[in-house]
Amino acid sequence: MTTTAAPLAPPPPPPVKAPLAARARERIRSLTPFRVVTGLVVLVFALLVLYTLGTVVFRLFFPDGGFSLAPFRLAFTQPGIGKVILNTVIIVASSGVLALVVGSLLAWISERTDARLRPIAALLPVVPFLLPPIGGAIGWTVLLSDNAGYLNVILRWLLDHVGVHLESGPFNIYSWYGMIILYTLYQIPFAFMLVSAGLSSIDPQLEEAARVSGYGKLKTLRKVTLPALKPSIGGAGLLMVWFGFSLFAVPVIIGPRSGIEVLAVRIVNLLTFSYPAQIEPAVGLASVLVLFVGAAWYFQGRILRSGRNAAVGGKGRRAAPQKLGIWRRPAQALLLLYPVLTLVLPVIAFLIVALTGYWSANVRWDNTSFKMFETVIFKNFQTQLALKTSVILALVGATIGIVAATLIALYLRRAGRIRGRFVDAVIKLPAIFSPIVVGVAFILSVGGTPLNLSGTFLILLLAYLVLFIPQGTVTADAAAAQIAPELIEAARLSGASENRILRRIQLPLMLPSLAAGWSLMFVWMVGELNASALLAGAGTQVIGFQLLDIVTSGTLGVLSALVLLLTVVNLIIIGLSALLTRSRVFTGVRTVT
Amino acid sequence: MSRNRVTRKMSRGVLAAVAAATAATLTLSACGTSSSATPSGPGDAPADLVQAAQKEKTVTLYTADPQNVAQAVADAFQQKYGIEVRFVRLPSSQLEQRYASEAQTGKINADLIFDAGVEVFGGQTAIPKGWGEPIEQANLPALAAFPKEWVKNGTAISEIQPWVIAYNTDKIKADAVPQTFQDVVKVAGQGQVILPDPRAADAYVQFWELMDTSYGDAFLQQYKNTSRVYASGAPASAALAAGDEAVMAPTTAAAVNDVVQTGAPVKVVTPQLTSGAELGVMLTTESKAQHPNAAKLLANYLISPEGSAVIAKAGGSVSVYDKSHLPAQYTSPKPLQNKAKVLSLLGLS
Repeated sequence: MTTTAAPLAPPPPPPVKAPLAARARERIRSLTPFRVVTGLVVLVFALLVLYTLGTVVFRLFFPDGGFSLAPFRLAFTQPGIGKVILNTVIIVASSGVLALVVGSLLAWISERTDARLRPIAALLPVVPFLLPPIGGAIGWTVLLSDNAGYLNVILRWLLDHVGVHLESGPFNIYSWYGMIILYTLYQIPFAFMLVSAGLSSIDPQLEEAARVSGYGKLKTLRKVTLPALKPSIGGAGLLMVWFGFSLFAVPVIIGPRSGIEVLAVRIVNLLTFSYPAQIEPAVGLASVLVLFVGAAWYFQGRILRSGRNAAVGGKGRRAAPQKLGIWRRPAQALLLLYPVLTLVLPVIAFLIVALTGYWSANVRWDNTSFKMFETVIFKNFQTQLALKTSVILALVGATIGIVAATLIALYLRRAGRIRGRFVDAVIKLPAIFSPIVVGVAFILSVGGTPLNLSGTFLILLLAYLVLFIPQGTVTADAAAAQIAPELIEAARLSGASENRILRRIQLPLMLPSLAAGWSLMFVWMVGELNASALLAGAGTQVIGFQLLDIVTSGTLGVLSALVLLLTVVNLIIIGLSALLTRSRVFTGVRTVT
Repeated sequence: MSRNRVTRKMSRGVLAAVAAATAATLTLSACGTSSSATPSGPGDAPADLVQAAQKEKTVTLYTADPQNVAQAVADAFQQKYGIEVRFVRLPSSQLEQRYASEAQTGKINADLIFDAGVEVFGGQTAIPKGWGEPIEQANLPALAAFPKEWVKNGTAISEIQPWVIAYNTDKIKADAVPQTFQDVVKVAGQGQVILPDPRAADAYVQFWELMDTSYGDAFLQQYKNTSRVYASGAPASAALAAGDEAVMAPTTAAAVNDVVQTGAPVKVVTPQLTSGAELGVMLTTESKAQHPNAAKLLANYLISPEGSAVIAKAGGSVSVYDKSHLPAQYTSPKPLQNKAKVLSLLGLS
């Protein structure tokens, strides 16, 4: 259609603002059932967060009706708090950079080269969480403790053969580098997931054009791929700041002996070391997290909404994998190394401990038995009940959680700037609080009359949702952000309803990421320790509670058996979910052709 | 503070009513019982209490004892009375935090609590606020023969876990086994001593205050230089069993009992000059308890010679009925006085 062929027409009348009633009618007409449901989900969840956490925060900051700075004063007059914050920043920053480099490299190998190993790529984001994080941290102390660590014992034996005699070491997990490496291992999945998503969305023709123009592999990576990936890398980095500041399982195990205290541990110690719990300084210290996580959230929001990120468009494209030649095998070895470090080695360590009953540098192979497994699985009736409760809770929780996170993410993409930012902030608010504070908040707000949820299945479920939906929305945000607006626009112009667009376009494209998000939520919920310690009733004990119990007063033999049992359960459930969603579920996000 | 404001709303006039109600239920002598559970010794509960408790079917116990001890008590009680004990096990401070949080909402899930420092929690917080009731007002038959010095602030201490030294027998030769806490720094090599993080519980700090008073500041500084701080629990006892470290002190027999049972090369020495964790029972106020009669029956059992012996046997601890097993220079923990100083001497903030 051209304008020259059009007859002269009178100028359009100036836009007239519709009367209020008309606008209201228009609004109501635009309210599809989908929008109503989405709005309700957002509203209910935001109210739940505001009511529960608001109860605690309000009591602390307005103790007598007026605003009080006591939580901040108590927080920042804590002994040695400056050093604690500095330690945290050093660890999170260095492990973040390392994780970004390694995670991006793994993602590139997996997405763009002929060295890809589909099953490894599929499982990689979930692998470190198959073991509950506290199990992973303890597993590494058993492997790399300076005196009796299994790997150190083997290395010393090997070194002995070449004439090097060592009494201890050569490595020590109780050290700065030990701490940073473990943080890195737990942060790599975030870099991998986001960079994979980014890579799969970049038009590979760009890279092919670069290569045709005579760029080498490295130059193509540096000049073409990396700049295009900036949004993904930035998002991953910021997400890792968030996760790194909150990671508790690693520093609580490694920190005391190595003399390195971090913020997450100080906060939990304030809440657990004495009665009454020092909730005021703990919440005050959360303001440091607010500062860093707030910045992360702000930048993540900017990146996702900037529209500069590579998106899955409507055109089909197919990436021709780069041939790595002699580097193919080493690249594959690198891909294999990650699951070996995060899952296989700790599992072997736990197997040895569980079979021999205790950890010893001199493994007594003649003394192996399944007694620890019998104790955990058959003799301890509470473990069976706890496992059942946890699995049901995590199945229900992860399903509700990922559906809610998806609806919230879709809502946020539609909502106006100010409303969207506000809702986003509310939804992500729980991520800055220690799970213990969230636990206390739930007891105080919904535990008693009139709801009387204390000790019930429902209070655990609601608390898990509040705790893990923020992480879920990050996955869902990323999944929703990579669907190009022109796809939706095209569908709309073709007359598709909102429902149909969701069913036929958005959900299928988001499904791989969402399934990965579901799996992560499932394993996090199954292994949750701290909020569960306060909320699980005598009749609703969960496995995280049992883990914490054994960590604080049990033996490593029983702990090993329980961790292995939990890992098997996680593997079964995630394997089944992969089968059900058929396919490339855990591959992050892939190019849609 | 905010918590206080909430609890101010709580009823404070329940104690008298509770006393009257419980007195009515506890007047029969043991020999007149018609219960299926036959009384077998002094302090056994009267038949009507047993029957009322059995109608409630279950009882919820919040306990700081290790899993195996809590399970042993639950099994023995169930075998005797046919009532299921549902227990929630946590370290004392978290147990009290959980109890208090529930109490502030008006719904307490615990029928009774059994933990270290209960006389402070009960005496200073729970009983004044009306969450718990003084054990003397519950008319428990076992209280008549219970050693009076262990009834403190409305609670009854029935288990003593003396602080001991645990050592790895592969690392410490038989002739070098430390007999006192002072010996620990002499026999173990540099960085071969596990110091369970004293900040984790005031009971540890109370122990170190005793050491400071007894052996002086220099000893604590020497201990700091010899030891490495561990979060207590499985990682610490596992490191000792593995030979990653040679000695762990202070600890309790209950904490390493399970490791010893697995056949690990770990043994325990109880020094004569020591203190300990003292665990006792506090009853939830009758009107707030979900199973008030079963709670009384279990409390009665926990402070009876029979129940106290079951606990001591399972945890390697000492019953208050059997003080001959206490170390000669055992000192009960005293209220904290120099926490900051002691922690500083140990190199901790």
